[in-house]
Amino acid sequence: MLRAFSTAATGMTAQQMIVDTIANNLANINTVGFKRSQVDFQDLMYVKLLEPGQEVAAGVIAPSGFEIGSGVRPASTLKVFTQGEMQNTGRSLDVAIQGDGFFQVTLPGGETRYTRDGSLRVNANGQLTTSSGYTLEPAITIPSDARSISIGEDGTVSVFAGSSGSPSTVGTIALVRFSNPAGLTNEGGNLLAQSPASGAPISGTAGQGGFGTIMQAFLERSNVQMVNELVNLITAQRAYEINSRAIRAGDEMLTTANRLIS
Amino acid sequence: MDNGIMLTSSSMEALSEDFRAVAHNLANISTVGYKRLQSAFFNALQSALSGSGEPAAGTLGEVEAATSIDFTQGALIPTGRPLDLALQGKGFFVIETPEGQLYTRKGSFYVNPNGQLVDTEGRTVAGQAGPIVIPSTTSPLKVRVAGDGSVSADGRPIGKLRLVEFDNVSVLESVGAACFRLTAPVTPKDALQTTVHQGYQEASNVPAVRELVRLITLTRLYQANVKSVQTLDEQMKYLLQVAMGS
Repeated sequence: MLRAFSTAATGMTAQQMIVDTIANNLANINTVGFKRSQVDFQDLMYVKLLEPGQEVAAGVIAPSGFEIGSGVRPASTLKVFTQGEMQNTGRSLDVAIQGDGFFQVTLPGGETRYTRDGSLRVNANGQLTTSSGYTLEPAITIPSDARSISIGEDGTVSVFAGSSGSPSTVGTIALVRFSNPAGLTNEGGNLLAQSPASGAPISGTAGQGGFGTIMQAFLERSNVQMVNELVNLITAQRAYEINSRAIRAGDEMLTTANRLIS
Repeated sequence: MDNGIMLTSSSMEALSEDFRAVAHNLANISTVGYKRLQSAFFNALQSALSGSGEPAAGTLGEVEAATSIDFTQGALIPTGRPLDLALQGKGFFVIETPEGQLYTRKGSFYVNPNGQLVDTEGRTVAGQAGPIVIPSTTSPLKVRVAGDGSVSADGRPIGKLRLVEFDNVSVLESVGAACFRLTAPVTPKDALQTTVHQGYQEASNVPAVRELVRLITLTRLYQANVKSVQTLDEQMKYLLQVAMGS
């Protein structure tokens, strides 16, 4: 009986974890390039009280065993890398990836990180950076006399500089992708880091070899669907209640049993 | 008399084990691919009570406690994730482990650094001809899985998932993580009637309301058992009083 309490408690913890994840998804409903998380659960180990096929009486074998599980455990939270909605901003330094791929940025310490947030800026040195100020890798420098910037579907950045009447190419925004993007580590600040699970980054050009295309003047919205999250929230709340009901029922049974000795 | 108390207490014990099974089902109400535990004890008890109205002598105590797995189809929930695969029908995916093959209905798959299709635990998913390998030139977002389990990347076929079914699912036992293993040397058959749905997950098949009703019934049966122990105890007390002539 007491084991059933801990079983039901694992159920309550699991639902709480779903609520925590939904809260984070909903909080990031307006975060550019954000990918929603979902929790993955596993049923816990089973305790065998009777082996199937065990002899229960002379010549009689149990047709099925008696195994009871001990609840549930959260196995992982995973980012779902489905495409977010494209929003036209009209800003020439806003870029979005339509399809698979990440922008590659360099942190001040020299480490490489990956992001889908393409709200770019030009820093004091003329380099293209993310909104947090991390420079793109490879670095692209915009001349100080640039009049207009255009970014092609393959990531080519060209500018009209000075009084020149023809565009000149100043660099290409490179994309990388991973065989298992769900294995990337979340660093916060819209940044992801490589992990042994994600595999090594595969770099390439937008629009080729499985990479998505780059769209200028667009931002990729978060892929959180508010209605879905709210429905999941309600479900989790009810499931939490149901599991607490199991604890209450167990308590009632124990109270009844206690009456035997009163 | 003594025997009556013994039978009742064994039935109380079985009820509390059954209660654990219900608690386990409820805890797994959100576990993808989970199949609920049903208790043969509870079923026998229910039919004994509702069948003839009055349970045959000894029935309660002698019911064997046994659990079986209820393999009914769970609801298909859309996730939009290309590597979430759900099965409709009686089939199972085959997972390769060092200890042999496991069978599961949970199709939340990933790609490992070698490009192989793997489950949440990182074990490879069996294809008709070895593991399914997704070429590194293809994005996992561009993988398409047809209803019959054929996998293609960027329109080129790269393999077919191995889907199996069993004539008698009672040979399967749970090993946790929504996986099952064989308890008897049975050769699984190819599942031909099973359809794969890409971008879906199969929800847990625990029916919340029915489990709650089962929970209430269990509680009441338990209380009834306590009551009969008390009654038997009082009867014995009375008999003793009569026998002692007081």
